[in-house]
Amino acid sequence: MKLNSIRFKASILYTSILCVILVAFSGSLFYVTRQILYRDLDEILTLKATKIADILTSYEDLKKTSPPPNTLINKLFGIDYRMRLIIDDLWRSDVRALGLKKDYTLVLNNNGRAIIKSGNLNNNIAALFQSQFPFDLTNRFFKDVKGKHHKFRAINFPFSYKGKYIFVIQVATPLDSVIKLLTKLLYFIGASVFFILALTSFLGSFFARRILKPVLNITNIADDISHTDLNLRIEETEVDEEMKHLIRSFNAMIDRLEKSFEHINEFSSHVAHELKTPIAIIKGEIELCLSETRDIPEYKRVMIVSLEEIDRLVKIIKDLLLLARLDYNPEVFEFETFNLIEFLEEIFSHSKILAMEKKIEIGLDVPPEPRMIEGDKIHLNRLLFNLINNAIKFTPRGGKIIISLSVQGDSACIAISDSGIGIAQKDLSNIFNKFFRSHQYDPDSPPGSGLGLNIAQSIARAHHGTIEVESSPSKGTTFRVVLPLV
Amino acid sequence: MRILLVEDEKRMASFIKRGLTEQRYTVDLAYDGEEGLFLAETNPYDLIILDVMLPKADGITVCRELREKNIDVPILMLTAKDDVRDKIVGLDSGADDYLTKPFAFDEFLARVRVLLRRQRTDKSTTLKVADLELDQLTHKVTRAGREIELTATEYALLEYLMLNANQVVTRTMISEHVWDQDFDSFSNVINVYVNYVRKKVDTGFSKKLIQSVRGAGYIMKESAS
Repeated sequence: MKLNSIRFKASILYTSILCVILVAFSGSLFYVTRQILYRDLDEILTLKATKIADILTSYEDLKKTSPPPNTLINKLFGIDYRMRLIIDDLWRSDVRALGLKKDYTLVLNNNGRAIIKSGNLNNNIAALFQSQFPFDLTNRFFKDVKGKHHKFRAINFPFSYKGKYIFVIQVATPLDSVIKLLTKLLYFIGASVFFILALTSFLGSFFARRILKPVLNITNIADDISHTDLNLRIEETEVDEEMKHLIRSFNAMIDRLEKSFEHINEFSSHVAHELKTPIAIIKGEIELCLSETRDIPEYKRVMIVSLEEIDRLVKIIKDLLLLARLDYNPEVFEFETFNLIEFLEEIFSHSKILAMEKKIEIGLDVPPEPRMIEGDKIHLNRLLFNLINNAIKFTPRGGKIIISLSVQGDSACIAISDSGIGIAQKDLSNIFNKFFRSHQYDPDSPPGSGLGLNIAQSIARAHHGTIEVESSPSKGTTFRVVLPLV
Repeated sequence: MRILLVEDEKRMASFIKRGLTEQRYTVDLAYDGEEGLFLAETNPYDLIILDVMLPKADGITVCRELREKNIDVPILMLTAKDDVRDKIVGLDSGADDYLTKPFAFDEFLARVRVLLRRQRTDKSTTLKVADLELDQLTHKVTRAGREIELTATEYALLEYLMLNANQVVTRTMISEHVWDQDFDSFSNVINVYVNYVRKKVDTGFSKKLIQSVRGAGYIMKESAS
């Protein structure tokens, strides 16, 4: 698994989110448990201190009811002393009854002198108490006391007897069991978190792999696709909606690629055909001519045919390059604003010379007021001459061609109509296809490149215009170039 | 030997026709698929040379239709498409051979000869009847070692008779295989040419190879009459 793979990132993300949640959850669980345990402990300590206070009270009460100690009789008979012993016994037995064996108890008077201390309270503990747990005559509080081997929870419990004498009861109880419990809990939580995280990251990675499996499929198929097997498609069965969308887009992209590859294939096969035909003619003519001794006019004829075919090759190559430039290099166009009427008049005067040879009459029909358009004069010139040359080529001697301009809304419509042989209905939709030629009309002139109308269309498109054609066989053809006016 | 050439590129058709005519073949021309199909269906050609990219009906379609109608004339496809897949489509449509443009003219002629002699049991380029020999490569005709000068038509006629040696050949057959489509088969020209050839071949030899079959036509036979 790569470090920057979605699978890795997703499982890391899931795991870390879960980790934060688990740590927060178990942290608060631990804290709350600890609080509850301490509160219970503190309550018990308070209870114990209260009990001791009760015993102390009853002891003091008893002391009150006994004869005053300083009376002579008492001193003499030692009543006071006996009394004290009895009371002390009482006290001890009462405290023992409280079951405070494990606890350390200490009762101090207001001078800090220990009145009573439990038997287990040896000097070490007493020193610990003195250093970490100084007595306080006013406030009740709880404190943790740290010994060498043990920890204690201690209560400082001030208590006054009838508002006069003040005692401080200190009770400390070992924390061992609580700490043991909390440690166990901590271990348990830690192990659980670790286990859950490990399981989640494994499952996360597993499910991420399952979810991403279609992506892997797409990748594999994409790897397999080359220009020779563009027919491959990804099946969209049993995948999630998002993946379906991706697969559909991917398949649609391959559809488009396949189509354009087919188009390119077809086009290049056309180009090959177009280039090979003149070469085949030149080669064939020359080989045939060389196979025997010929007379000079025959050699001349072969030379002329070869030269014409070479010119045709050059024209095809030039037109192909021009077409590629027109279609993919919009910067070849240099736009300027000019008067279309003047432009058409110029074209008209040149066309007359071209049409003279076949005695074709050319007419011009334009409105008098100037019409401005934005365009590239050189390329528009090429467009219109392409159409005019076609018109001359397919119009018999003595025919007629009319160049006219009409304005429709904010666009200009230049029409070139001839009285020529026309175009068959079934050919009309094909004439803008590359290399399409209708049946050769004039066998003496070499055929054109078959790209003229394509070039015209590309130029019109670059001017945001269109070319339309209308024709009836043996009556004539009209090409209309519609260009936006300024 | 009469060949149909279906080729829309007029200049291409022109030099192929000239080259074949120089080799003493009779050539009919069709400029599109429909015309080619019509001519092939109505005339018994010895070979059809078919371009693939044709107007009206392409070469593949023409070839398929001819084979569907059980016209089993050898077909040589001639095209600028040199992709292997195109060749396979061409050959599978029923063509016997496939040659891509531009081609060497000599190779083209050799392939034409191969296809023309395919139906014969004898695969050599020299035809022999008794001591009469005809070399299809050099167009030299000899009888008993002596060279005979023949015009193109005479050669074509003799070649046809020799190819069908020991069989009766009718005037119609001769008109269909030696002359092109513009020839009027009811004219007397065949008789005239047969007499020319007979004169050149049989004069001075006791064994007369070309004989008339009354009411039917002619036969070329080894056995003396």
